[in-house]
This record gives sequence, C-alpha cells and structure tokens, in this order.
Amino acid sequence: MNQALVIKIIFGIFSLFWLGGFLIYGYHVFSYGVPGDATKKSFLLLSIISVFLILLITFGLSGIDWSTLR
Amino acid sequence: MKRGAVNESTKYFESQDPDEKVIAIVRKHSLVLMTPFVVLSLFILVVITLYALLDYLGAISNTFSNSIARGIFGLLILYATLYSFTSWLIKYLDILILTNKHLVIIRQDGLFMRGVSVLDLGTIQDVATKQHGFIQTIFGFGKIDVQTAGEAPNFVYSGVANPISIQDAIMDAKEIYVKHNLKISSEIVSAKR
Repeated sequence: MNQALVIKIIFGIFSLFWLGGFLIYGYHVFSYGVPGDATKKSFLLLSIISVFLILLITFGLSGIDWSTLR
Repeated sequence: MKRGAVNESTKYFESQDPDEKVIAIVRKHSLVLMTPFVVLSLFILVVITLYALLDYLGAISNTFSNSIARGIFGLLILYATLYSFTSWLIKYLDILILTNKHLVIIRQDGLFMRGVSVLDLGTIQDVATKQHGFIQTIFGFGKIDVQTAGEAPNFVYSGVANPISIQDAIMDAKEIYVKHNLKISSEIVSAKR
C-alpha cells in the first residue's frame, strides 16, 4: 500500500466518524427540539462552520503532490 | 424569570392535553450554555498557537508535512466544533416545562440518554432553591429542588437562571391548580347531593 493511499484512508475514516457524529446531532435536533427553540438554528450554524472547515482542510491537503507519494 | 417564547396553542411535549397551557419553558442559564463554546475558542487558540510554533521551529517546513499538519489541525478543530455543539445541545435540551397542570422535566444526560418526567402539580410538596458560590450569586443562577409526595423521586435542576422566580412560578401554578381541583370536587359533591 502506498503512502498516499494510507493518508487518504486515515483522513477518510476520521471524516466518516465525524459525519456519523454530525448525523447524530441532526437526529437529536429534529427529534427532541421543542417548537420555537434554537436547535434548528444551531444545526444550520454547525453546518455552515463545518463546510467552512472542510473547505479549509481540503485546501490544506491540496498542497500535497499525491503523485510523488509511493 | 427567563422564559422561552411560549405559544399557548403549540404542543410542546407528547403527553400535553389539548386544554393544557404552557406557562413557562425554563432552560439553563446562558453562561452555562456558553461554556462549551468558550472551551472551543480556547482549544482553537491552542491549536493555532501549536501550528504557528511548529511552523516557527521549522518542523513543518516542507510542503508535504505542512499540508498534513493543516489537515490534522483542521480535523481536530472540526471534531472539537462538533463536540462543543453536542455539549451545548445536551445542556440546551435539558428543559423544565411548567404548565397549568403539570411540571414536565426533560433530562438530557447525554446522547441517547434522555428521561422525561411529568409531575402532577398537586404532587409537588416543596420547591427549594440553592445558589452556591461566587459565580452563581453574581450571575444569578443556581439549582432548584422539587420535592414530591409519594413514590415519585425528587427532582434537582441545576444551572437555571433566576431560580427564585421559577420557584415562585411553580408554587403559584400549584396553588391555582389545587384551588381549581378543589372547586371541581366540591361542585361534583354538591351535584351528587
């Protein structure tokens, strides 16, 4: 297995775990929130911040020249 | 007392009767709710400082290690953000709903750890409040202890804003409820005669 694949798998696994947590958060918001509360707003805020951070991580990792890794 | 925006016609909990009116929705004090985000801010600050330090020391000088470091630190912040929001949600979903018939206590102790108690206002015997320490006294939050008659367990709700006004509201609601029930009982008795 080459280095690039190992790095991609590690980041992939962490991302999947995170996605699981994000979905659990959403489940709680839509199942247990009471009418008129701030849970849905918080979910929207978390989504916006997360997208921003994911873009930032993607930008960070895009600096790697994957083709040189073996 | 800090109350949520209450719409009398809205159903707030599953066992709410059609004629049951919500008087107040009580949550934890905003200082308690903000704690996870304060911790998150400090964590982000530490992560950024660590990255800057590694960069300064030349530990991540080449493109590869720099990109990997950015990826790892980014993932750390992503996880920390989710964790903070989850901590906030667990505190935020801890709700006390006072209606003209019941005191509904929703305890969210964790993800997938949730308990809902519906107390009849007539079973409430005493409501005690306690503000402990400098921070609680200055910012006006504390805990309330609802003692009930019979086998129903006592309930403690901590980190609540203005516990004394909530105590008053619960006792007032109880008084009105008991008087109303007594009136109905006496009407039934007189109708039977």
